[in-house]
Order: sequence, then C-alpha cells, then structure tokens
Amino acid sequence: MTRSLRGRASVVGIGEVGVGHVGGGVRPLELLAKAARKASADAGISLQDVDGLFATTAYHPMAPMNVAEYLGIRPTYSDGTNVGGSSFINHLQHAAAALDAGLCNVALICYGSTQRSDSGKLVSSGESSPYETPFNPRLPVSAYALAAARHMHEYGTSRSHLAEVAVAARQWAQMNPAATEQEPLTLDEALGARMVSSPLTVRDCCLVTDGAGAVILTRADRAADTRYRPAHLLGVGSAHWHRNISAASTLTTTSATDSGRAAFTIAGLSPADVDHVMLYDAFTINTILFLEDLGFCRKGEGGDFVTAGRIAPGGSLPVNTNGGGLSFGHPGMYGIFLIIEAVRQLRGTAGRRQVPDTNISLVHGNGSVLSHQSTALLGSSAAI
Amino acid sequence: MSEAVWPDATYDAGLREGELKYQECTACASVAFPPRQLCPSCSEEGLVWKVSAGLGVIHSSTVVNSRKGAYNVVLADLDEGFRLMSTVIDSTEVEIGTRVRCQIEETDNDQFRPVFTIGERND
Repeated sequence: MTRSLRGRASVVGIGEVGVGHVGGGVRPLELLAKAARKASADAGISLQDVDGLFATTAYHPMAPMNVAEYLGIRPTYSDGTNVGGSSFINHLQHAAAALDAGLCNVALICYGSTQRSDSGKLVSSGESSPYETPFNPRLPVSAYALAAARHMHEYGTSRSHLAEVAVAARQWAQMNPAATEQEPLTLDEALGARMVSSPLTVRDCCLVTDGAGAVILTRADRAADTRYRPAHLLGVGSAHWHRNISAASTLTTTSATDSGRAAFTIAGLSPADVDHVMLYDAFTINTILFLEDLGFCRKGEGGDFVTAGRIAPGGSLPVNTNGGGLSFGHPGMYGIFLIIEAVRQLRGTAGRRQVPDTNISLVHGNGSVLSHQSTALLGSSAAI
Repeated sequence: MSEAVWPDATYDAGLREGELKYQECTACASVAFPPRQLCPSCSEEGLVWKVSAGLGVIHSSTVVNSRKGAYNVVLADLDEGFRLMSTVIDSTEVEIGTRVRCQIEETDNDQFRPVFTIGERND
C-alpha cells in the first residue's frame, strides 16, 4: 500500500513569459529562465534554493543540465522526462513524490520555446515511424483528424461540435489580455475555415507561438509561508497506451481514463466536485475526448456536452479559461500553462475571467498523438 | 535467435515480392503489426510470418490538403486482425467502413509500400 500523495505538495509560485511572438535573437533558454525567475519572485523563494529540477524542451535532449547551468544552480534531484506536451503534469507527479520522499525541498518545473520566431512551425523531435511516413500523414494534425473522424462515425459527433470548442476557447481568450488571439470567432467562421486534414480546419488546430512557463512546488507544510495562497496537489495520475497513432488500440478512448481515475482516487474526489477544468486542447477533438474520458460526461456524449456554450464563459463548466492552446498560445509543448492558469483561478487572481468560488481545479495534459495522458487535481486550502 | 534478418527487413523483402506480411504468435495466437521480435500480447519470442490476403476495411480516414494537392491517409483493418496506416489510391474521399483491397506500389525513391483500392476485386 503506497502512501497517498494527497495534499503533500503545493504549487507556490507561477511564471509565464513571452507567449505569442518574441521575435528573432531570443534563445529558448532565455525565455525559460525569465519564466523561472518570475515563478521564484511569485513564490518568494530564491532560485538558488531550487534543489529539484524538472525540465524538458524540444531543443535540449538533456534539458535539466542546460537549465541548471544557465541558472547557476546545483540540483540534487533532476528529471528530464519527455512524454510530449503532458510532460509538465507528469513532472507534477514526479515532483510531489520526490518532495514527499525528502529527495528535494524546492522543485522547479519549467519549459521554454521560441518555435514561432524560429520558423513558424512546430519544433518536433524528428522521430518518425517507417510504417507511417510512406503515407505522408501531416503530423500531428492528421493523427488527431483520424481520431476525430472515427469519433464522428461512432457517436455522431459533428464538425459543429468541434467548432463549439474553438468558439468557447476564443471567448475565454478575449477575457485574457495575455492571449494571442483576441478577435471574435463565430461558429460559422470556424466551420468555414481552411481545411487542414479533414475533418479538422485551421480553427480546430492549436496556435504556433513562442512562450515559457515555470512553477515552483514545496511540501505543503512549507507552503503556508509563501506569498500567495498555495494550490495544493490533491491527486495526480499518468498513463500511456501507444506512441504512434497507427498503433492506438482505439481512436475514441484515451488513457485519460486511467490517469483520471488514478488522480480522482488519490484525491477522493469525483468530476462533480470540480469547479474549473484545464484540458490540453492541441485540437478541438481533445476537449471532447477528455471530457468523456475523465468522466464529465459519458463516452460519445462529448459533442452534445460542449454545445450551447456549456464550457464557454457563463456556461456551467468553465473549461480552458486562459483561452487554451487554441486561442491563448501553444509553444510546442503547452502543459505548464495549464497548471499556471489553474493556480491563478485557485488564488482568485484571474482577472475578468475569474471563475467565482474556485476551490478545485482539474488539469489534464496530453502528449504526442493522444499518446500520453497526465491528470492532476489542484485545490485551495478549503479543499484540503 | 533463429531469425537471420531483422523483422523490418523481412517485411520490406515481402513488399518487394508483392506480399503484405504480418506476424502471428505461436505462444498465444495473437496477431502483431508492425513487425517485431517480441509478442506485444504475451512477451514471448514466438512470432512467425504470415502473408495477408490483403482484404480489409477502412477504420478511419482523413484528407490532407497540401500544396501538391489533396490525398487521403487511412487506417485500414485487415481481415486477419491487424491495422496499418496507408492510403487509398483510387479515391480522394474514403468513407469509414469501406471495404478495400491491398496492392504493393513502388514509390519514386525505389521503396515499396502497401496501398489500397476500393472494393474486393482487381477489376
């Protein structure tokens, strides 16, 4: 029987910089370091006190060492696990375990990318499968398109349902001054947008931006001394079933079923207890799949669930309140920004888009082509 | 190890001969694709080669719009019980559930790939 991680570790500092277009001449490591500095100031903890370092980027195969060298710190516990965009939720799990085991005392999770300024294209690992490349799938979008097409076939999900997700994300982004896309977006505009890989249009795809983010965690007992109200980690889980989309055992159910169940079990919570939700929306189908797989609705009902503005501002379930990967920003790997927005909402510092009385937030990360899933539940002190 | 060549090479050699090969486990009877040495169902090393009849059904399909034009990418479920990524060459739009037949095509760079045509017959 393992000891429960419920309430053992807390996010005490957050920092986010350069989401959008920073322009040429900026190294990704510079952006990352600025985000780390911001998180450190936010926590009131010196970066020199960081002894647990969790970092991964598309540029640095051994990212923790690049980051530590730049920051001039000497960590004694490091983790560069790269499972795609969900890495940083996965790092939350690893950081909480390391803090709880006494292997480190101050954990920094961080990420930075200048992919928009570099080329305007996604910076990827370059890894490809010889059983997929002869057919020229446009990855990652075609993988998600195959999942969306199958979901539409099995459950009657429509392109309008997908467009609802894009419109809700844009409405939230319009309430976030830091979001990249601020122009209004209608359902008709989303439906009429340029088709990239059917059934997904450019409006069904996340943005390509620069950006960096960082969060700092300590054990919960130390968190009381920090500047802002801590966001306690109530539960966390991770799972993965495939690497390549052609090897996915199913296109319409993800391993979020496993990661979500693990997180809810540790937290002793159910979806009905959740006030605020952050889902990794690399593509509109993600939001629908994860609402189903995490238990906010039944399998196949995600399309109907998101209609009539249910996840938009004023809807009954606030989802992706920063504007999401679809309208806030998506610098290659987006997971760290999910945590940052959840912490803002739990602190009550989210400005115009603040969801009243947020005590429990669910954060869900997705990596690669629906491959890796990590779920975390964060809560205010009232939720402990 | 009894195998003189690695699984990828055996698969590629099959394509050159006009055959779509897959594997079956002598220990647990599971079907495996893409080629490998360990069975992903039981972890035993007892995979043996089989030749697919090349008949299957479209599991999912997307049309990619590129500068060079539109083409489809599909996931096809072969009747023997394995799935592969491919393309249907005689139609741009392909509905899920369509029956398809495999043929081996030589590509511009002297490689061979399994592609599909709609229907069960060569006519």
